[in-house]
This record gives sequence, structure tokens and C-alpha cells, in this order.
Amino acid sequence: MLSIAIIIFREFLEIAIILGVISVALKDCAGKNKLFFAGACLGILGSAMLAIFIEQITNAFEGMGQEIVNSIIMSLAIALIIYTIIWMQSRSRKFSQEIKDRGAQIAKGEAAPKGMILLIALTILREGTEVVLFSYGLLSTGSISYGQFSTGAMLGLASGVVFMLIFKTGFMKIKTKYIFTTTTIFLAFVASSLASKVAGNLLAIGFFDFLSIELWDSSWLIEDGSAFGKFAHAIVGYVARPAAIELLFYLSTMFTIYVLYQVKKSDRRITV
Amino acid sequence: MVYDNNYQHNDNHYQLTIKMKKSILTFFLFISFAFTSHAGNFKVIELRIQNHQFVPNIINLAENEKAKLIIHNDDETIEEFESFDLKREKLIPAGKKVTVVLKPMKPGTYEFFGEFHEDTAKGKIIVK
Repeated sequence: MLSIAIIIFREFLEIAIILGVISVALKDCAGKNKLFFAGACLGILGSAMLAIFIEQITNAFEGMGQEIVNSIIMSLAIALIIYTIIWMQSRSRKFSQEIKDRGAQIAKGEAAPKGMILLIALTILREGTEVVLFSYGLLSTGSISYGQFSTGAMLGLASGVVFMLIFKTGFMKIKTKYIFTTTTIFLAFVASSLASKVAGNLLAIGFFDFLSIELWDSSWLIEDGSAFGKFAHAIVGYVARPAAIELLFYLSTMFTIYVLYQVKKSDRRITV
Repeated sequence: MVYDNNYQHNDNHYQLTIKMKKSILTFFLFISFAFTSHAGNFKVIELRIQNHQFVPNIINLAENEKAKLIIHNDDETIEEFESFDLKREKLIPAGKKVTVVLKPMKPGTYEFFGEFHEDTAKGKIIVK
């Protein structure tokens, strides 16, 4: 029972930070909870679908199906995150505008963009598929009873949600003035890490042979497998031995986001 | 000069479609190039997962040797081959096999493990 609890908690941890940050970005939006619920359901459903077709996916594209599907999922997530960052910019201005308009009623009921449902689903998809497959393995071989499984699963899930809420509460304590900027920075790191993972996948399937050289090895400073290493990986996408193409994708994404952010910030129009 | 707005709009739309077609074509060319770049002599290493353990669990390679691991999952449950050192993650359904192509590596020890049975499924690749 403990094994399933631990696996679910671990996989959830990887996405808890992203989900927490999205939750902050959607602060005070109308229908936020419904949106999260919809995203979670879609994510779980999608994970089940991917799990059912895991063999076909694995064998597709000459055995590179997993890497390709993963890359597509991550690329979509990157696009949606960039959209979120731009969308938040217009929010940030509305918020400060409203604070100035003392007479006007502050519109707290602004609708969250429906694209968030997909982003939440995509975030859950990657780890969710592993969880579904692992659970199926446990249950189908009878090494665990359904009762033990449910208990363990709920324990893992609850622990993960608690962690996410603690993270989110701490985040919300940041002053309103800085909260959107901090959220943007976090999301920028997430998008860039995903981009470097996409590069890693492309390397694995044989693209970019010439840019596969590893630029440095910082394991003497932070090891990949260490607790801090995993933490650094989750927050900023740290790897001890980045390949040139991984760094390139990472920096390009960061730079693109920076440019779009500046453009949006200086834009006089408020609508996205 | 008088511009007919409708004409301009159509022109942009036409241009966009051409651009889209070009990028789709480039993408497919890229993909086919990627597959052909797999030609070459690869040392083939058969790795088996039995009772949640890797057999063999130590693999020896020469520096910059191109190799590919063919991992057979002989167990009844799925396993995930994962390695921070190799930066690879791949699911192997029960009873199936997957191929993990390794790029030429510098000397050192590269550890890998089975994510779903980390306590027993462990191994390393030693490159000399």
C-alpha cells in the first residue's frame, strides 16, 4: 500500500508546483474551481487513454513513439504557458487600474481562459500516465488488494494536494504588487525547462547530432540524483550536464517570453 | 494609392497558407532525415528485466562507442527505465521490449534504475 502512496506522491510533486502557480495566476477568477476540476478530469481521462495505448505508442515511429508523444504534449504545454503569461500581463494592468478607480466596482468575476483546462490536463498527463500504468500493474498481478490500493492512492494524492496547498498559500503571501511578476517568472522557468526536455527527447531520437555535446558538468556542485538536485530540476529545470541543444532551447524560450512580456507590458491596449 | 482592404486580407491569407505548407514540408524532411541518421554500426546490448532486477546490471562500453540497449521486460508488470546520468526515461510494457539509443559517451559511470522498483532494479554503464 505504501508503494502506491509513495509513487503517486512523487509524481504529483513534480506537477504540484506548476499547478500551484497556475492557481495563483488564476487568482480571483470566476469559475476557477470548476476549471481546475475539468482540467483534472481531462488529465486523468487522457492519462488512462495513453496508458491503454502505451504499446501502440511505444512501437510507433520506429520505436520512438514515447519520445515523440511526450514532445508534442510538452510543446503544447509550452505554448499554453506563454499564452498564460501574456494573459496575466493584461490582468496585472486591470488589477492596478481597478485599485485606482475607487468608485468603480472591482470586477473579481473575470472569467478564466478555457485554455487553462487544457494546460492543467497536459500537466497531469505526463505523470498521470505513469501512475495509471503502475497502478494497473499492481492491481492486475494481484500483488495488492483494491482496498489497499485505494487507501494508498488516496494517501498519496492527499499528501500531494496538501503540499500544493502549502506551496500556494506561501506564494499568495507575496504582495499583490509583485505577485503577477513572480508568477510570470516561475512560469517562464517551467516553460524553458519543458523546452530543454523537448530538446532532450529530440536528441534521444537522433535529431541534432551536432549539438549533442555536453557543455559542462556541474555534478560537483549539484548532483542530479540528490534531493536538492531534484528540487532544482523541478523549479528551474537544472541538469548537471546540459547538452548544447538543450541549453539553446532553454535560453530561446526564456528570451522569447521576455520579449513578448516586454511587448505586452508596453502595449497601451488592455485586451489580450 | 488606394488599397482595397479585402484584397490585402486575402493576400495575407494566401501567404500564410504557403508558409504553413512550407513549414510542414520542412518538418517532414527533418523527420525523415532524423531516421536516416540512425545508420551506422551500433553495439547492441540486450538488457533484461527479471524479478524487478536488471540482468546484467553492469554494462561495459568503450569511450565514444555507439551503442543501443534493447531492454526486454520479462516481468508481468510495467517498468520504467530511467537514468539521470543518461537523461533518459522510457516505459517498457510487460513482456515487451524497447530500444534506447545511447549517444557516444565520455569515460565515467552512468547509473540507471527502474522507477517502479527502485530498490531492486539498479544498474550502471561503465565507459572506459
